[in-house]
Amino acid sequence: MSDHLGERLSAYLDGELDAAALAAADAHLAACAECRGALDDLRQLTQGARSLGDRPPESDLWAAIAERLPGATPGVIPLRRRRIAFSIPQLAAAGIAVVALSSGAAVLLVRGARAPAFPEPPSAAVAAAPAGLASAKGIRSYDVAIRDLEATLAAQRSTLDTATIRAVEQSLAVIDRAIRQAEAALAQDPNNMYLNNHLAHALERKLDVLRRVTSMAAAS
Amino acid sequence: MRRSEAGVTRPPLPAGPGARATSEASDVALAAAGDQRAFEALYRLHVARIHSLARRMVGFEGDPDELTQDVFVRAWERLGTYRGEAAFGTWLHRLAVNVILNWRRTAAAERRWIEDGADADLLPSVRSGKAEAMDLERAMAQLPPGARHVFVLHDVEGFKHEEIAAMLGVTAGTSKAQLHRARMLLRSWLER
Repeated sequence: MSDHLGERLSAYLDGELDAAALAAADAHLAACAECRGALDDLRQLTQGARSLGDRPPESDLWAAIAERLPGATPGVIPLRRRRIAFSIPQLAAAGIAVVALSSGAAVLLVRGARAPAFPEPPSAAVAAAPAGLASAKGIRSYDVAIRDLEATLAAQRSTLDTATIRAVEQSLAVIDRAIRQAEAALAQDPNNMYLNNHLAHALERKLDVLRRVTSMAAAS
Repeated sequence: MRRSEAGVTRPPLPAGPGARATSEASDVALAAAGDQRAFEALYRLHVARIHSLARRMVGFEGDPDELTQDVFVRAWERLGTYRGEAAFGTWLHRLAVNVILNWRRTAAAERRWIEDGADADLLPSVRSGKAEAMDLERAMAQLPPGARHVFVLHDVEGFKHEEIAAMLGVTAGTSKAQLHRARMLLRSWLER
């Protein structure tokens, strides 16, 4: 057969032929083993291309990127002097993240605390040793640090715009709710390792948010 | 809720896809405000996809590590323009395509692109046999740049010809022709 489909093979494969061209191509394919073979190969090729997985670079590029960030020096705290304003959805998202990680689990565990406790698997049983629990001393350390940062933030409120303050407060309120839920659940099941870790995580999260926001305010 | 093998109800995993998405959104917010640590988290989440895109687009013509760095530096600079209309990953991916294509234009100005330079006889690394992933990746790298860009954007990344045409500054017809050319070249190499 001398008049093969050529470029129309790709158009056929991609569903780009109109009805008349499609009918003609189907008729040709029915009679031409060469074009059928090519079509099968192209179909396999495109399926292979779609299923290619992603691969990270062989070496970590972060250090080189961090060095190039304008106005940045390697570190943790905000490094650029930008206008300190989160959008409400952005800060709401930060709060929702905490809810997703904390609230649902806490509520379920509060309920679970009233039900018979599920048996711990061996690894968790080892991890649940008293030394692993969030101690009262540890909690007080968080409280002290949080109070300090809250005081700092209060002193720096004037450097933040109103929308940002409102969004930060909303976000912190969500975290506080998660903390209260964890504390309530722990009141019923003080030795629950999961709840202790959960409370410590929520406190750490609050500390982290406060630390970042106060650092941004200080940099403005 | 998960169930163990014994059927005992366990607490939910704390970080499901939804939690990851909102965590990413908070990282975007913090990074946009200048938090380098949050930006590093975004880098770690997306670097494999961006580096793979860069590697496939540049073939043997450029350095995908350097381009990946360029993409993330550019993303840092442009984070303030991200409005959340699309997923952050989508926004970053589109930005990466632009950075890579801009690099191509700059490179093209410095040295003439040899659009017909791929010679099937100069492809020792393309092995015979099935079109396994690495073979396909190697073969793609040796496509002529124009055909390679269209193939990657269309068949790997899923862009439409009209979008590719706009990105590359060609007509949709040219994009289709380049795609077919790329496919046929790859077919012939991978069949060997």
